[in-house]
Amino acid sequence: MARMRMQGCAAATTRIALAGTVAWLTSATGSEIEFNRDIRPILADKCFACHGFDAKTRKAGLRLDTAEGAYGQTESGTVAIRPGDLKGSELWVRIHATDPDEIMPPRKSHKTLAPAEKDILREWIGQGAHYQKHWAFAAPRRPPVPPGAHANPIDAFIAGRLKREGQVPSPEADRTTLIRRVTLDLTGLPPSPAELEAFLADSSAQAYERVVDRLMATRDYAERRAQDWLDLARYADTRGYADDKPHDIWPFRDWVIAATQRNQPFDQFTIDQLAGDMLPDASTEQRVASAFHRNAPQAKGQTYPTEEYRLKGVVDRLNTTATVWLGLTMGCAECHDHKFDPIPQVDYYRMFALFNNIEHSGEGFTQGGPHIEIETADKQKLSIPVMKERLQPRETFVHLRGNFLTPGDKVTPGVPAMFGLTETQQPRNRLEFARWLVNGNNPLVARVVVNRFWQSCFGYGLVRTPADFGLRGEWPAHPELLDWLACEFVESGWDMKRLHRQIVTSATYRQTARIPPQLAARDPQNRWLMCMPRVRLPAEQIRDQALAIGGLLKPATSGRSVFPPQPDQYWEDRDLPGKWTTSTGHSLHFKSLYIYWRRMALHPTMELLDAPARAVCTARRNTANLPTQALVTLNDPIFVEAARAMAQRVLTEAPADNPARLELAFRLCLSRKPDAPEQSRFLTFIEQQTRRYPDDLPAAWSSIATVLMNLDETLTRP
Amino acid sequence: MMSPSLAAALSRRAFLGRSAAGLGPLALASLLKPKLFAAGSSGLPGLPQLIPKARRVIFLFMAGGPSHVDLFDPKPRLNQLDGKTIPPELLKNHQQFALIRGTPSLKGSPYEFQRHGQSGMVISELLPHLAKVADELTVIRSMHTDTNVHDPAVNFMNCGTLLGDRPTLGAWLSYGLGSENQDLPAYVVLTSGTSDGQPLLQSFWGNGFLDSRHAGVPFRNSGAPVLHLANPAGVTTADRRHELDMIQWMNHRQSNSLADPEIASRIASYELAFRMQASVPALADLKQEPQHILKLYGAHPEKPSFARNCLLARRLVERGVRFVQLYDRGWDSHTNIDMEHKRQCAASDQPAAALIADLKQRGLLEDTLVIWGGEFGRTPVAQVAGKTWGRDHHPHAFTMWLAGGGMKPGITYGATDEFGYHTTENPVHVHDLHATVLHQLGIDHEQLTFRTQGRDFRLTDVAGKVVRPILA
Repeated sequence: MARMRMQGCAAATTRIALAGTVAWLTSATGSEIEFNRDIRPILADKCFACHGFDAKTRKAGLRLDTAEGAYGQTESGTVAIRPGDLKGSELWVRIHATDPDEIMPPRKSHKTLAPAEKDILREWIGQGAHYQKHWAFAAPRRPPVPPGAHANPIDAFIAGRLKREGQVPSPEADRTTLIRRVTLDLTGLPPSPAELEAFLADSSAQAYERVVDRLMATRDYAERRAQDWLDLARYADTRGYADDKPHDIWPFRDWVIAATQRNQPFDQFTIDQLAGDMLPDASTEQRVASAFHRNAPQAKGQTYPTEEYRLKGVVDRLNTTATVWLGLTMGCAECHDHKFDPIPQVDYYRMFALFNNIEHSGEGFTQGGPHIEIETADKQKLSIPVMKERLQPRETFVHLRGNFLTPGDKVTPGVPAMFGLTETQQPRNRLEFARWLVNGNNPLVARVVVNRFWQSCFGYGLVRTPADFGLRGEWPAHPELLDWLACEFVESGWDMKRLHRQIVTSATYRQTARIPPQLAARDPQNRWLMCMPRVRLPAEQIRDQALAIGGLLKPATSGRSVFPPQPDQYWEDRDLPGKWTTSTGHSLHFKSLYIYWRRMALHPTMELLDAPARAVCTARRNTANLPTQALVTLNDPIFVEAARAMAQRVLTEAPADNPARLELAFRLCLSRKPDAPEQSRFLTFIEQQTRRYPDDLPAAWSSIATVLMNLDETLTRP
Repeated sequence: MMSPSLAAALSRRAFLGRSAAGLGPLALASLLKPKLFAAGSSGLPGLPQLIPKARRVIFLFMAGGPSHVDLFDPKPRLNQLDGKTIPPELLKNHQQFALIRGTPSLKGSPYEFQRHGQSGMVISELLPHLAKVADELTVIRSMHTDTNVHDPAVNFMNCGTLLGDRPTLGAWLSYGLGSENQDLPAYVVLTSGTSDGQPLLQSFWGNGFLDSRHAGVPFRNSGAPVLHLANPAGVTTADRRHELDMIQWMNHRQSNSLADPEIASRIASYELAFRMQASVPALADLKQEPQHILKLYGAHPEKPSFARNCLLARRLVERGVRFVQLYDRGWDSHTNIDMEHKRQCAASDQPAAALIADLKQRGLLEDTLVIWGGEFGRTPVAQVAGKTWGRDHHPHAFTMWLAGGGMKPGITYGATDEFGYHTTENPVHVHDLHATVLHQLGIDHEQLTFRTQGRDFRLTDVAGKVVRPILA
């Protein structure tokens, strides 16, 4: 998935808007200048390092990131910008200075303003030097698609930006790469040899789109999408904290899969999960969906102070909601006014009040909060945690310093004032809040969601801080594309599959991953998408791919979590209660999505490959590249078993000669045939291994399987 | 010989530009050597530039922020004025508290401080074992940092920036100096302490824009430090070597064809994994340690603890690991500091002192730099008064200590005001600490740079001064 895991308040607030990579200059001199679109990128790149947000590095007492700073007096008594008055604006004077001590940006910054940039600044000051609020807090307006012969508007935006940088997109990847890429991304599995053949044999212009449509209709697709959502939903089979007791919440996972498979529109998907229990005549499914917020870690038993831990749950629900739907680091405002974003502490507790009316343990619910009884597919009764609103709402107070024992003013439910609702428009409860989120007018929700879809395809979002769209979040590399996608998404009726299809059918997504030589110097982070980023597979896909290659993977027959082997005493070593009893039969080989997810001791195969324990909402995973991970795919019994199974499969399914076997082995692991040097070297290696194990062909071929399953090419989405 | 495209792929490692002052072409030359793909690269040619006093570092990171006025920086005046409102002049020109609102009261330390050793160093009663090695310590009372928020502050202590997207100190050392042991990572991370509270983020041992092979490798804190070291039944070391040769041959071809630098890192990871299969079991077998050593540290060979990690750290540096960072969690005492700091001290004091004594008796202390400290200190004012008193985050002044590695032992450097609130004498910024650490390892902090996004980056940003008075 991605390199950095965002966890809660502090990690996210450390992000500072990265300047310099944004500049999407318009040639629109003469037309209305927009601060966010035209001016801020210039100032960010050339000025903010010394005249920006950071008081510590600020020079001359001047900040140019706010109107107050720019219009006010500097330490020397000058005024940087007088709206409408060029000559009275010190900024204008200094950027034209010839004296090396006067000129801005200063020589030693190695930055210069291009003539076109000066023109735009002139226009802007002349037009009144209007500042705009933070881009993400203003509703997206559907931008026009840049001109050019692009079937997919995404490509017009990407190519347009590249053109401004004097670059061009990369050519399309070869067909074996394409089907491997899109199959891994959409289903989490490699294409089977048959699927590969069918695609290579389909010479029609729509062959690729047909593959996409086929894949998106599968349960595999829904399972792969659910995996990302479960990171956000902090779904786990245990309740967290030191006692880390189990709970039966897996029907929620099944619900996410089912909702994704039927392509439930995102607005309804939202309402069902945030407030399904409050819908009139709520169905069982909708109540199950409301378990989204029963994934909040919850302590159980007598050892924890009930009210304190109930409130920790409320805080988690609020912070998770803010991350998932608003891309805001609300958690910072639990204890104090948010330092960067316009979220006063009182607003935090107004939103807190929306989540503060849930029935809880200690109130007659012996199992720890409300549950409903459902009948599972295998006709068993199961009691699962769901949300249930109290008839009599609790009173909510500001918690001074975040401490509930020091209540401040009483607050009414509502969303932060930054969203500009009048008191009568304010949502009064969870259901009204959920409906407000997805009414199509929220500036953040659609952008945050499309950004995560982009992230799941390209490794990084258009905004690289998916959990922080606030003032300290990173500015989008392609703001107009982000807004276009967001507007499309809402106008399509929040159609997630349509959005996903739009992205993966773009030429941008279909580019080769070969890195052009100029990338390192011009765009080392590949923000302009000059080529397709390669992404190491997520933990689940590394295991699932190995099972699939070995022919071991079995479709889940029940949504119950399963227990593939883990090292002996793994829980006991951590003094955790409970006992891991390894599964038997088919469930040993269910997808990793169904692995029992214990928050205090995640299955080590998952943990070592950077899967999150899901104690908190995770908007982005880390992707490390460590020797400890190499040892997993080389020696973990799960992978050893898969390599042996693959060897057997190659020996049984391919014609009984080494070149044919090798070809199948390559197809299984790499979705391609070996080229001539590979063929020659591998055949030599096989002969050597066969001599080494003269009576044991499977052992010899296990060696080939181990090699192929451990290649960078195999472990990476191409 | 490396193909041109592979060289291009690796060129972002290249040490180009004016600040590299003559290292550029040499560094580039090293990139063209196939041995680059050996595990744990050999670092940059020309480094160390200075005669190194230290060759390796153990950083004992007290995560959460230990209280300087309760451990190393006694304040009689603060004790005298206990309970009085904070003098307003202290609050001038500084950012607000992390959690305290309103006007808090001064909070003296209830703990006894005494002079120890020949140096007469002043240490709190909470640290009786460190008191016994007082003459080995170089205590800096005048540390200060840029933020009072945990994660940015930990990032700052590691990367010299509040963001978590730059290389950490250990990654810079791995990049600049490479590893002295090709069989172990250059940079190992060990964790202990209470598991609730602030999570440890991967950025704390991240590689930033350096190749991912320079990231810290976290070892597990219970059971075997590394899982899956043994080859599958029936697979010999020779078999595995043949397999790896095939894997690497394929990976090299892939690297040539795609120019993705991540592939070179994967090649290095697999080589190192192979070597760790042989090196880690012996490293981790703490049962080999004689009873008196286990007792010295207070470590049980199998029970997770800071003590066990200290012992493991010694075994790691003994084997030439460049940078070992131990995170000990549980120091963030907003309330109940008396219970929590006593708990943390009880678990960490003896092992830290034992580590110094043990390194010394093995002759390792002279070229191993031990660093102790958190991301900031704690406020001299109470966040909560009464029996459950505690202290808030305090970035303006706090204490760290160093030992070995060419530091001047037995000295106390810098000073804070009568409340321990601001530094008053010889302030040491985190950048200065970093400059000093690099200096001891033979690196001019202004010269160790990496060019990306059009400019040269370094650990100390555009600041940092070597703190010469504390050097031996």
